[in-house]
Amino acid sequence: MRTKRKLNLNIDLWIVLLLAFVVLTASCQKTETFTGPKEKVTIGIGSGGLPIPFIIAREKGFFRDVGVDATVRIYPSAIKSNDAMFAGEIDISCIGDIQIVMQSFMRDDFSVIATYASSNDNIKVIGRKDSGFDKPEDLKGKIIGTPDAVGTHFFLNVYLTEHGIDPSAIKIVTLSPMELPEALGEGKVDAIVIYEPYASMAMKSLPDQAIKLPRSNLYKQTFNLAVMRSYTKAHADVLKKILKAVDRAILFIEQNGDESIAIVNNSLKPGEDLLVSSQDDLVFELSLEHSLFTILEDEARWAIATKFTEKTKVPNYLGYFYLDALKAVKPKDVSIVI
Amino acid sequence: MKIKTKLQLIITVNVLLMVCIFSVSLLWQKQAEKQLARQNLVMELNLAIFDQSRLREEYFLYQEDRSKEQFLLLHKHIGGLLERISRTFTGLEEKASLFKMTGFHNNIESYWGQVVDLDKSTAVHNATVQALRERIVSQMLVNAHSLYREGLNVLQLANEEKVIQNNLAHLFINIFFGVLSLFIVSFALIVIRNIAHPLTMLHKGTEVIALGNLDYKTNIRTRDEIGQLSTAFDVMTEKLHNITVSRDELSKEIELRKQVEAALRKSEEKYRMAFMTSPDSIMITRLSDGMLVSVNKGFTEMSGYAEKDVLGKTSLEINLWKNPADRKNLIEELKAHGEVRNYNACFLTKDKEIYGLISASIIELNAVPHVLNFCRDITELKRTETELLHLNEILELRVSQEVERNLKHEHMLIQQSRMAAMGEMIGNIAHQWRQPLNSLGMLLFNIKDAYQFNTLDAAYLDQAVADGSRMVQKMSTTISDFANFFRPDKEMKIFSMLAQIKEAIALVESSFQNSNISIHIDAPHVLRLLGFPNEYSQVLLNLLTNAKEAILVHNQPYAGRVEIVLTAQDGQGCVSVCDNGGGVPEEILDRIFDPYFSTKERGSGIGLYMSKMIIERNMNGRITAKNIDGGAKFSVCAPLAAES
Repeated sequence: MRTKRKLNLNIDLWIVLLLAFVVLTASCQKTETFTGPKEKVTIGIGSGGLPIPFIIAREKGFFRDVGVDATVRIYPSAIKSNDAMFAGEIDISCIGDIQIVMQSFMRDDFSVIATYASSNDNIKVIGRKDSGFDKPEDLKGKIIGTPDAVGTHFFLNVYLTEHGIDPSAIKIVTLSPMELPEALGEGKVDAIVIYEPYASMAMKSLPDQAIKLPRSNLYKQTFNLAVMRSYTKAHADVLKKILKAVDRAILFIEQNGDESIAIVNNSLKPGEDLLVSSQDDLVFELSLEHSLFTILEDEARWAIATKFTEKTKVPNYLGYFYLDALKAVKPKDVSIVI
Repeated sequence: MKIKTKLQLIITVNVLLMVCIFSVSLLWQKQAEKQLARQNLVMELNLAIFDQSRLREEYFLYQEDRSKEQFLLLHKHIGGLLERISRTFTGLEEKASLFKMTGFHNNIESYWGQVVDLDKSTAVHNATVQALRERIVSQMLVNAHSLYREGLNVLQLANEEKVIQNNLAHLFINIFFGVLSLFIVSFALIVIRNIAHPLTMLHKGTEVIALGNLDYKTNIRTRDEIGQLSTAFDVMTEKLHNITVSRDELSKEIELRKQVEAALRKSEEKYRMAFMTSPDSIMITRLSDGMLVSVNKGFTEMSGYAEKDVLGKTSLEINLWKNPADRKNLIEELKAHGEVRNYNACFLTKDKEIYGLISASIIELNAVPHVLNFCRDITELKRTETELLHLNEILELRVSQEVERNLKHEHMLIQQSRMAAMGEMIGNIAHQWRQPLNSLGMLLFNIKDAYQFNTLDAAYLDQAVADGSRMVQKMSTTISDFANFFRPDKEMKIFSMLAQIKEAIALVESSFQNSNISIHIDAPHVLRLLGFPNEYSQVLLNLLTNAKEAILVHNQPYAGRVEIVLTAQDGQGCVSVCDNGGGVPEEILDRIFDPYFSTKERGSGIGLYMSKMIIERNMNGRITAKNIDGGAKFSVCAPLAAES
């Protein structure tokens, strides 16, 4: 009798344990690990803090986990990266909103797959204190050094307009991004309009002299990922995997800020350390917002008005976006309706 | 745990469960209401944002103050909503979105102010100002869009929260029903295990016990009422079993006693019958004084006293013992050994004296030692004994006389045998002497002839004398041999078998030759016997003579043959005499050693008998006869003399 009861209890216990095991097993989330052959992808990114998510994704193996053998190339600027993509040297490129606009005037064979970063203060205005810089309005009558990039020109235009400065009231000197910090340091220019990491270089070269002017409230720069349109047809899956890995890297950066900086610093290859720097103004987030159209159209109108293009019509940017990749990864962050 | 306690526990748990469920339901309801309120709030916010966009468009279109005021009011309302929502939403994602929304909301306010200011300024139509306005509007639109997007995100999160809560509610309900089902099942199991099953076992137990199996145990040892009932049930069964066993045992004991009593009665009756009907006298007396307690019929018949005359009196009182000392000795013997066997004593009956053979033993009757006395009347036996003794004496006398006569007869037989043998021997002597006498006669004639023919000289005479002496010597030797042969041996001595055989052969050799019978001896070993050599030779002579006569009677056409073989077997020296005289008829073979049995016409019939006597009695040997192929074989064996 007692043995039978004991047997019944044992059976009950086993059933309960089995159920618990099943529940636990079902509730455990397993990290997917791709074990098949990996697709090779080359990603080109501009300088400053822009490469950080991609470096994190590379170092933490997020690309590997999704089955992609990704190579990250850091270029001195996003423009160089775009050129490399259009030349077929890389598959995916970082592209700023102004570059989208300028390229859209010339070609329509590329697609934007996602915005992955934005900043209200990527392009900075740094002046010399001894040039009398205290406020943005002090730019009037000064020599301003800028790279030969439409983006910086657009920014400067917005900045001057915002602060009521006539563009003709300043003198613009075009120098390469690398030369600008030196030029400021040598006093060849009174101020520079430059992006990272060169802005930080300029600040470091004149620790007591350099002054960063307030950021523009009328300019939000977006950093996007673009591919050739033909690539979207042939490698739709790869794009999803890339965005998945980048999203995972962005989450990691949010949750492990200091560790991310340390990983980036320890992983930079020779040459990369000059181009990569952390940026507090960069907000990493994957999205495809409809407001991007507003920005693009606004910049297009400016480009037309300022004769940066011969085109006279603002392009229809609906045709320049590939939504499927991000929809597969973060559908609620896709607000563009095609 | 008692069943009552278990049931109370179940009820309590049930009640608690219900209370929990109701409490959780209430809580859930409140949560749902809160969530609904939040959702409504977010809906209201999104609507406000939408309205704000509408008002903005209105303003951009008409630039009316109404639109400006409404925009600002709405903007303020949106700010308030954002604040309220921020207080109610606690999730990280919601808080992040709300934070962004607040930022966008503040930007929009800033941009709105700038646009309104620019519109108010006189340089509004200035290209730069226009460009600036465009920029500001552009940024405002971007922020408005972002605000709206984040608002939708918050709404979605609120919806998701609601969905989660609904799902949780469903899950909770499922869990509740699951738990309830489990509870019901457990309750049922408990009831089955703790109540129904034990009751079934108990019921089964009653049936088993009703069938008579009182060894059945329910073995339900739970610590509840059922267990107590089961224990009591088992105790009851055990007691019932014990009672039944006791009753059965009692019945068995009673039965056994009855059987024993019956057997005892039977035995008593048997012994009483044996006691009463025994022809021998049986009496039971008290050991201490000899008082008769019980007597049987045998006693009354033997003694002549009736039972009533002797019971209660002692054996001495009624003068049973001729010699009272006999009783005294008997008692002493009894006390020493506990029993006495075959004790002779003389008793005085009512009218005579008898001899009795007593066997007695001490028994206890009612814890008092008594003597059980068996007495057999051996008066006749005594008389017979005396007569037998007398007869025995006479018999012994007669036997000795007869033995003497037999010895004389035997002696006579021996003498007769000797005479017969002697007769035989005389025949042999005659036969032995015939040839030498003839030869002597011839010699004398030759001497006469030699004298007549003047050829008698000294040499011839010497030769003749020598021949004659030799013949005489031979004849003398023959006489000596015969004389010695028949001289009885006075004492045993060791002799050679072969020598004696040769001695016997020497006496019959010539007669055998005359009868064309050859004698062959096979004696590979020297064998010596201890005995009477002459008598041994006599036996051999007898065998040889019989062999010759058998051969002659058989009248065979071939030559007669006698083979004599000497062998040693198991310490015995054996001589076998085999002839080819046709053998002994099988029907008389076992009688040939009987005295006065003969197959010869004029035979005495004592030769082989005497030979048997000599060998078997005097020499501790044996003599046998059997037929062999064409003849008979006589074997004589006697112990070999020890080598010393």
